[in-house]
Amino acid sequence: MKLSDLEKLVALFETSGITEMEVEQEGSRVVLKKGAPVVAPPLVYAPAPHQHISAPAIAETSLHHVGGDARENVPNPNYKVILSPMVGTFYRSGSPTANPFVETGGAIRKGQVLCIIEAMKLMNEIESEIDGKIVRIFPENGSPVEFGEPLFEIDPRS
Amino acid sequence: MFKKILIANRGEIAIRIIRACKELGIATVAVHSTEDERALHVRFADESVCIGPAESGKSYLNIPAVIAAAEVTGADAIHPGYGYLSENAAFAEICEACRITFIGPKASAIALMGQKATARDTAMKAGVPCIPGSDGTVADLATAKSVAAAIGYPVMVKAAAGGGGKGMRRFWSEEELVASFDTVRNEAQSAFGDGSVYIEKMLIEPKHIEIQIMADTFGNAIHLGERECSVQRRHQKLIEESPSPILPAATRAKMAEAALLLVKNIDYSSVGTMEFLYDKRGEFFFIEMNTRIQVEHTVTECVTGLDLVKEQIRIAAGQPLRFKQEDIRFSGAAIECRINAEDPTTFIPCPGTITELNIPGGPGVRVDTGIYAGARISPYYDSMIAKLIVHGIDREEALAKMRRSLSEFHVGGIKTTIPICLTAIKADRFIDGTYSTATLDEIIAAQKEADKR
Repeated sequence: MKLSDLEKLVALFETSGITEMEVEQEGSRVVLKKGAPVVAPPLVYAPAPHQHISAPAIAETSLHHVGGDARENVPNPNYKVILSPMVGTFYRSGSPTANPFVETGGAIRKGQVLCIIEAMKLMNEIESEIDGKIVRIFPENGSPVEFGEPLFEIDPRS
Repeated sequence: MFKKILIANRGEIAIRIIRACKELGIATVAVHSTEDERALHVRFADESVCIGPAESGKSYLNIPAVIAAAEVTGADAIHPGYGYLSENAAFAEICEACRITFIGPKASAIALMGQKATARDTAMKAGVPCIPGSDGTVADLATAKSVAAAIGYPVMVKAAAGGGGKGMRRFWSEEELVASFDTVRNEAQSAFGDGSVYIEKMLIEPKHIEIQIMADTFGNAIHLGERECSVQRRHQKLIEESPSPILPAATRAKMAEAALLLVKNIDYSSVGTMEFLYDKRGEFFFIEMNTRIQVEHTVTECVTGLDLVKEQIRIAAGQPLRFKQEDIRFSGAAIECRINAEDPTTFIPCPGTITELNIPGGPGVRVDTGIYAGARISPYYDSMIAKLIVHGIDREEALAKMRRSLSEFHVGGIKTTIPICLTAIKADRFIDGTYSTATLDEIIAAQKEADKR
């Protein structure tokens, strides 16, 4: 084996992912090794493209999900989230001049009215199913909410 | 013209409507259940509102939720698609009361033609031939017996509030009628909330031929030709085509005339379809009217070159019809196959996840669908997942295109009715055009026998 060939071989070996290589040619034998493990790395095939090709991405960027942001937050497992049972407009108080039913940090009891969701000119009072303390109020006053949308995060331990 | 339309439906028809809206520059709102969060119609619309849990009754059929969704998004019109709330007169009235335009006919027209018995009365009064039968609903067995005897067996007993092939039963003799008349009424009560039934003469080897009409709010009405939908399994359509391969031109003209006569009699606007049964002896009889856009509107769009959903939206927006009857030209032949997520031999629904998808293409091939690779087909909803429509210069070419494109259509991960569609379009009776509403059931029965051996 000529020196220039050997140089080329070494250069190739260095840049490649191979850690061990043996070449035999015309009576010469060259063994190249690198890195600590001599064990050949397991052959890892790149994963086949996931068949779960989502529907066209174009739709995602233009989509406006009514009140969808709250869902993206990572929920605290100790707290309970009250979800909207209906579609409508979320109001913190019974009328524009009245005080809000609840405030963040305030204590609440089971059966207590937390908010109003208005739909088709009917005001629906949403009651709490548990005792606790309001940790977070998700929707803005007067904003639209959809079915299943998070309304209140409650700490039930208080 | 409307600024924003809410589509009160799901799946392929919701996408169909969204497409028409986009082309007209109208903003769209999709409503969906929690089950349909990743559905294509939700992603294609400009806005979406989750209106309820998976069950249709609590979501897509939930009138307060749909109306509330229109209110919070500021939609000025609602398109109900087909099925669901599309023929719900109460819903149409509520839309009107809430000052939201219902894209369809007036509530009164829906109510009149939605009840089969009143629809029949209306048709008879207008001079449109109907199948000999009872005069309105039949309240008791004694009346049923005398009506049936007068008409002659075999007879059909049908639920007045039924539709889509549901709530009807055949009786070949008085003994059978006496044995099961009350059962049929009880079934109607539990299925439709209305136990009233009426009786009709049963036709032999009839063909289901329907006329598409379109009418505006100015008294103009035109027809867009016929569709033959005789390939049915248990009264559920599987394959539709336009034109009908065997209908004589004179009969077509008479049927179209009858359809328009009826439309003019009932103060109707929007698209609509008059369904007829065409008997072997060459007579046709009115059976029902669908006061909505239909699944198979597609084949009419192919042969006329019109976009029926856009025209429907224009009519609802108060525009006059853009075409006179003489402007309508028919070209070529179109066939549609409904692809259902069902076992092709047992027809048991097969929900699941679609792992691979290849949708056919090429000239004259159209696919209306909401499925995509990775989509989950839910057990909560209708099993139809796609419509494959072909349009050829003549029926022979359309048949060749349908055979070719059905073979290209690959849906992995679930079972579909693609194989049975292929069998049906290759059947002699389909090719020669003589098939009746009984043909598919016969083909399926024959196949079952062949499989046993």
